[in-house]
Amino acid sequence: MSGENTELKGDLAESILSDELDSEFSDIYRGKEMNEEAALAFASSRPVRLVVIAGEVKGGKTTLLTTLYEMFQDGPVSGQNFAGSFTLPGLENRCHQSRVESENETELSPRTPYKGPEPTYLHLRTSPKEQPRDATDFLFTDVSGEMFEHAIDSEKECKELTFLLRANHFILLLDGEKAVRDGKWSMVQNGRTLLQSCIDYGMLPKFCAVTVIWSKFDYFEAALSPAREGNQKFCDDIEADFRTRFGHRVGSLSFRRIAARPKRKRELGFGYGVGKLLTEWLETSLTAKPMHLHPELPMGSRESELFTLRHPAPAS
Amino acid sequence: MSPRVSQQLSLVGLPHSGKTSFIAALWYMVDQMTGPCGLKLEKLEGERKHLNQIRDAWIGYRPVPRTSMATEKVVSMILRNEKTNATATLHLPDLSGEGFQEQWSKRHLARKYEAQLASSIGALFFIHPNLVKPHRIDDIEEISAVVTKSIPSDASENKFVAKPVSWNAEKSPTQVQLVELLQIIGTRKSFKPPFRLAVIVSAFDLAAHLGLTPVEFIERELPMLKQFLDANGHMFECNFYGLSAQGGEYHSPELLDNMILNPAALWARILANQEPLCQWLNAEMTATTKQAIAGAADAPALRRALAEALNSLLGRGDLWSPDRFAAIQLREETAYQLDNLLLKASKENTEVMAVNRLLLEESFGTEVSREWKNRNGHSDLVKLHPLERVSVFGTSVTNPRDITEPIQWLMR
Repeated sequence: MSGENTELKGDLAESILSDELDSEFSDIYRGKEMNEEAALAFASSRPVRLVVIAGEVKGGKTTLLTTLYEMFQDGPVSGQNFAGSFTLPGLENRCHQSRVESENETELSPRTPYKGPEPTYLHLRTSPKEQPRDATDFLFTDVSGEMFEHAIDSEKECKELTFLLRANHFILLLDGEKAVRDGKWSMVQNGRTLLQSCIDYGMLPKFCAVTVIWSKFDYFEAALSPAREGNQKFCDDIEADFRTRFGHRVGSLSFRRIAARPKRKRELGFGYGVGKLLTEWLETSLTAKPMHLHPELPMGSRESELFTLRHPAPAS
Repeated sequence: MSPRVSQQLSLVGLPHSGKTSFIAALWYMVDQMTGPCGLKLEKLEGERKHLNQIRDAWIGYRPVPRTSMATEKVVSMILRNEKTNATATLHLPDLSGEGFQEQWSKRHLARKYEAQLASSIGALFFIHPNLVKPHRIDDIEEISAVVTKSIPSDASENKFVAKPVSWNAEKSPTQVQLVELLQIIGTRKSFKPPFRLAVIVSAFDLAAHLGLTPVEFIERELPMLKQFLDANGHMFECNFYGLSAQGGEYHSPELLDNMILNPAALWARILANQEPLCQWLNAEMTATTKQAIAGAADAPALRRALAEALNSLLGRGDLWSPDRFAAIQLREETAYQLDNLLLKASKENTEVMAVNRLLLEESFGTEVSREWKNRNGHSDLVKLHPLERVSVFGTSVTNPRDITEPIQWLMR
């Protein structure tokens, strides 16, 4: 992103995320996750890449996001610098359970609670090391896997996920840990049905890039032969099936294998595959434009409906 | 040469980031008629009592007193560049740093600081090399697996399982908090880019062993902050400095374990409760402390327990009384330090501790060592003239003894 009045500077963050005033102190943005209203206000002034991360409960959605954030704490990622975040406390809070300071014996990601169809968002801004002014603002959904389970079972509930209509990237996580166990077919079926439902009900815009990710890929890598070859074939077969079913129905379809925190095969390194995923997001053409906040249309009653009304999808 | 309009500058940094030591040294330096400073004091606006206190501590080779948020008042130092005649007003809104940390942890901003930011063209941005860094569990799991294997199985079965600790914003990584301070500056309505930042790594002598320049230090130790600054160069125009404002490490009156020379004899004297000082110590030590001493399994444990017990009373202003020390012939140095302390209306904790340490040495001549922590380094330090104590590092530095170099860069 480049251009005037689109940097971190501005009254925006103050106006949308403010605390109450008192005499001695002035308010600043809260810094926790953004709700729909805050995300809407944020996206009104700048191009934003909305990345929806979907998958089953404990499938690694929050871990993927916190891992990317933690990687920036160690240095640039895939040639990108960390350029800011208006949700730093929210990100830090989510990283806590995987740090020694939590006194947990093993790393955990906080379970994102299910609070209905309204998502929460986390913000990350990156810019190329060589072109710092060409920054990109990402808004990542941080939603409970239960939200997507509801969407699998019900057209009505799927259509309530109106944030999907604005997604530039739809990330479907397939849990690699489950993929090496007996529950693998069920896990794949759930993922396939979720994507199918979102497409069938018209919830994924044509410009949305869909990426199917095998998360916890260290479970595949750690397996010994011949199980390893079996896992590989399983992956290949599932990917072929997805291509056949969905390849012609979405803007783009790609597959990735990541191990954000590879416990089973540490040689893969922290954030295995995450950097390439970031590159993919950045290289995918962005058709979304700065959003129009005040359409001359009748307003809905739900904030998520308002969001949709205010941001009509471009003609496909 | 006609004077230009004074530029406004702020001072930003988390608690313990070296702001107070910098100001103590600066307050001394800019008030000298001769010396290396390119800037001289034109005028001070506000209460100077605290500035004088920290300056006196600095000149006296003592740790500068801790600034508390409740007691500090807004002070502004107006400095003049004798060559260019330009002036700058350096606002000192929050030496304690607590207000800066509260921006992160409590999500509010002091209005007085906000007002100063609004008029400032830049800031001195302090970072101490003693950083809070997160430790990922996955980084240490391999080590812990090795350790667990070496523990007998029955011991590992009975291991203590700690209760998880909730997230505490104040313990977040230093670089994250620093990025947030800058983001908050950048989102103020009054913000006018480019805002100049003299990024100062304080106590840079502590990081000297790394052999890095200040900017290399930031890049290595605070990579996220460095990325943020690189990515937002159009908002924050930066120059990087290392600063040693103390000139070295001060000695400390704190008793280390090995400074208890004869722990059994010392404890026996205290327990006997015959001498006035021993009676006072007996009365002031808590039951828990006494139990810890009495329960010490061996000499090293007894040394540790006694050192902890005496250190806990070292800052007590009532350790000395004329009656308690009437039978002891004080050394000249001790008597001199004691007299000086008694004459002071306002006594710094570090001064009290130093005199009490001397009094303990006088009372327990064969049980308590006269060696102090970092005595040699301190001895070297006091040989330096105050004007030689400051060192400034950085690629743009022309006079490494001039503490005002970062301010001059901001004023340029």
